[in-house]
Amino acid sequence: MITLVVFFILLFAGLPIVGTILASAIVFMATSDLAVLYDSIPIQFYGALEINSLLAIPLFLLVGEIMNKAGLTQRLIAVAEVLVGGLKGGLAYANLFTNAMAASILGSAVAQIGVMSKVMIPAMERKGYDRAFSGAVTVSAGLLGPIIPPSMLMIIYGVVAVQPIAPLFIAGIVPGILLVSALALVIFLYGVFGPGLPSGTRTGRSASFKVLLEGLVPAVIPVVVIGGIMAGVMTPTESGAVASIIALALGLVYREIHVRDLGRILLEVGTNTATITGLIAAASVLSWVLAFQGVPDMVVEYMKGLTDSPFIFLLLVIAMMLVLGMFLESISVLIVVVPLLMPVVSSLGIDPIHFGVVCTLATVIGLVTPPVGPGLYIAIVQADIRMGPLFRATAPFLAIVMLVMILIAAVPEISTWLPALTAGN
Amino acid sequence: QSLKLGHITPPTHVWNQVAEKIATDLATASGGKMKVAVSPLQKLGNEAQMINLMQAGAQQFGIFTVGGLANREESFLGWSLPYVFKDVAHATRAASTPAAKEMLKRLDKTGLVGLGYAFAGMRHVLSLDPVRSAADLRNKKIRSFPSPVYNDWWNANGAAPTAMPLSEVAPSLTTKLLDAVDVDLDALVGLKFHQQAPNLTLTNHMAFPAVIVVSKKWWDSRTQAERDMITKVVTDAEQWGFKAAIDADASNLEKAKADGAKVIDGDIASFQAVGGKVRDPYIAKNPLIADFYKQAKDL
Amino acid sequence: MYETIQKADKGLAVIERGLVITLTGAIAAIMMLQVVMRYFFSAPIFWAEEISVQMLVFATLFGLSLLVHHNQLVTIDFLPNALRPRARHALAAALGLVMLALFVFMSWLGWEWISRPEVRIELGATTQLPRWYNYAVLPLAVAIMSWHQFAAILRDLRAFAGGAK
Ligand code: NA
Ligand code: NA
Repeated sequence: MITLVVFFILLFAGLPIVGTILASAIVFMATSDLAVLYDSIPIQFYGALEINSLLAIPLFLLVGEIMNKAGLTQRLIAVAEVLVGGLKGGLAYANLFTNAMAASILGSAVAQIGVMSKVMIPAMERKGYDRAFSGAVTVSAGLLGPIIPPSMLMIIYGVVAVQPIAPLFIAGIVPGILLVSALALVIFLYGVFGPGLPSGTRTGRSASFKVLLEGLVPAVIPVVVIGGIMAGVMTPTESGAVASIIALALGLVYREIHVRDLGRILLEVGTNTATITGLIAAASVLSWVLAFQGVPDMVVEYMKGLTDSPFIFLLLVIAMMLVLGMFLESISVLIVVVPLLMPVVSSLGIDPIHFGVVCTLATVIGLVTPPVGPGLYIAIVQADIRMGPLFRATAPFLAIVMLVMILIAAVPEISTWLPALTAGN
Repeated sequence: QSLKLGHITPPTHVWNQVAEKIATDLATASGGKMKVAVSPLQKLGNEAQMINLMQAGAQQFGIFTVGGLANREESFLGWSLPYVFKDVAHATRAASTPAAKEMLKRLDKTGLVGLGYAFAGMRHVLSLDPVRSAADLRNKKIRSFPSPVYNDWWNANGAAPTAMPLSEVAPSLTTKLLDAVDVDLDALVGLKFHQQAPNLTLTNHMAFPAVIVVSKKWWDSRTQAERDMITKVVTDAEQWGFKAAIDADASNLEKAKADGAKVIDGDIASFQAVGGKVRDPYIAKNPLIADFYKQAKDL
Repeated sequence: MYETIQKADKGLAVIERGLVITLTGAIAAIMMLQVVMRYFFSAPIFWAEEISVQMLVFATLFGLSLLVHHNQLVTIDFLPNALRPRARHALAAALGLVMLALFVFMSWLGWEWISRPEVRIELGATTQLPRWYNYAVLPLAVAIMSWHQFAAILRDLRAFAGGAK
């Protein structure tokens, strides 16, 4: 109890989250008569980082940085414009479509929103779209990043829940397709019942061919990443390495990145990795000391008292993560909460892969809900939008994402069918 | 506040049954004063982390693989020499040799008190494609326990040993990143790896013991009467566990077969052929390993 | 004195920047090489993952230290942002003290850890080298974090005092 109070005081006072979590672990030890555990803090912290799956994180961050610097995004946008740009509201669909393609290369919503909002929002505004609407499409389509594989959140979930990463990646594919369809529906309805959408521009046939050909090259990355994992010839980490090789080669060949940029790119990747893995290590110290004191067992008891229905439990988890996601940085919510809930998950007979998809979706929504929504802030800064209008414009998209999430919580097969199918052959 | 006993295996494993027996018997023997809570599945941490906890006295009991302890006391590698033991019963007899007792004494410097041994089934090969002789594993990736003897052993057979957490084994077999697993039947039945890799070759190449340890820091603060009581409880549980492990190895094979594992009739002599070559350097390097080998091989 | 402390702070950051770049680059290069060796030459490098994981631990530790230096650790910053500059520096110094205490404590625990004889005898399973060589990076990196934090507190205090004029 004291620990919770200390946790929230330090958090809102503005102590870095990694420090807040570690300090809370120490306060918990001090107040639970567990000072004997102090000596084990370093080995718990160190051991939490010695996990092979974590190697995928710097690799996918590297792909993102290269994509960002090498202008590969522009090529994808050009492809999307050829394919769906002719429709009414064409650029909005093209935005969504590009995001779906980018999502199969990039691992994080925040990175994706960063890459896309810089180019997509001004482009849509030039074609006559409302800036807040453009931001809303970009932000909500960016949510696909961690759902469609590869996914940093799935890697983090896999590490903290001790689950294999590959089936988690594959489990995101069907929900990803569902989300793309749902978001497209909102754009369509906005065109019909809303203020209307600008008409599209068709690209000439010869120009289309050239664009598609150029766009094909970066499109090799998702084919290799998703195909390699689904065909069962590559681990997620290896697919990250392959994606890095292709992205780096493309960037150097197109002469859009230079060898002298590599230092800055690697520094960015290294510190961004440390941000994530540092949180994982600190949180593992906290969840270990809570486990030592039997807190997860108490959570199981409490939850079983509330409900024995997996669906109701998942709804409770979603609600809890959304509420926590308002105060806390969402990835930290995932890292702290999941280890506490895993015993409940297994005692209710919920498939841990299904649970991973639901948790990832709930986390992702936290990334774009104010006041603590890093995804929103990036769009706000990159495209100079105000928070109020952006969040209002995003709300219908978020509403449908939540509906899809509840559907996914209710029907485990949406998540588990494809991984089971690929494991079967 | 109850005492803690931690180990890495699932609740169905023989080691957990030994752990539960220690907990029950200690509660009875102490008239309810010593309550032990058993934490399976490395809930308290991995072996290195649990050893750290025991050094601090935060965890009082542990059941740890000899492989993990061998990184701190080399002589425990003696237990993993290939083709020393005919079967689990043979290995349990080796636990009472003077050399095995000396290994336990040497744990003192790691902050642990070794009170006895526990056994899992013998090590075999589970593979995607049938393995009829050592040649079938040439250049194949086999998941093996992270230990120098295991590495030497698989390299001597021409295979490529790979250390990998157990949670990654099943997907790696599915995706053919692994061709085989060095496994005991307890793990096989518990984790059902034969659903991915159905072919079981009963190579019987090594035993897989664990050591029952007590935190030295905690032990030193007990009275002599308490120490005697704990020693007796652990010795009883150890003997009970020997029999349980022997029975489990037989019944696990039946369970695995019934569950779809295909037993391959393999040329075991082809594996035995390199056993001596792997053993000799260890016997030459460490006198206690040499003593242990001498005392254990013909029991 | 103040200048010397800040200079040392920047100097340490330069070294750490080099380390993070090298380690991250090495992890990426090894994992890329591993893929090439496995798929094109069927000759996987058996130590690739093991050594990369250790480098990831080091990159995390020095990366965190750089984040401390640049004041870029993830933070919920409503309260600081709502304050006037002077109050903000006072709060930052106070929070910095909490972080400093945490770092000094962690570093001391890490030092105690690698000093224990029973920890020093542990060998790596495949390398057969003492594990405390690697473990030692933790107290080292956290000690540097303490220095960065100390220098940051001095900067905040100076800004606070300067604002008083
Ligand atoms: Na993705
Ligand atoms: Na949020």
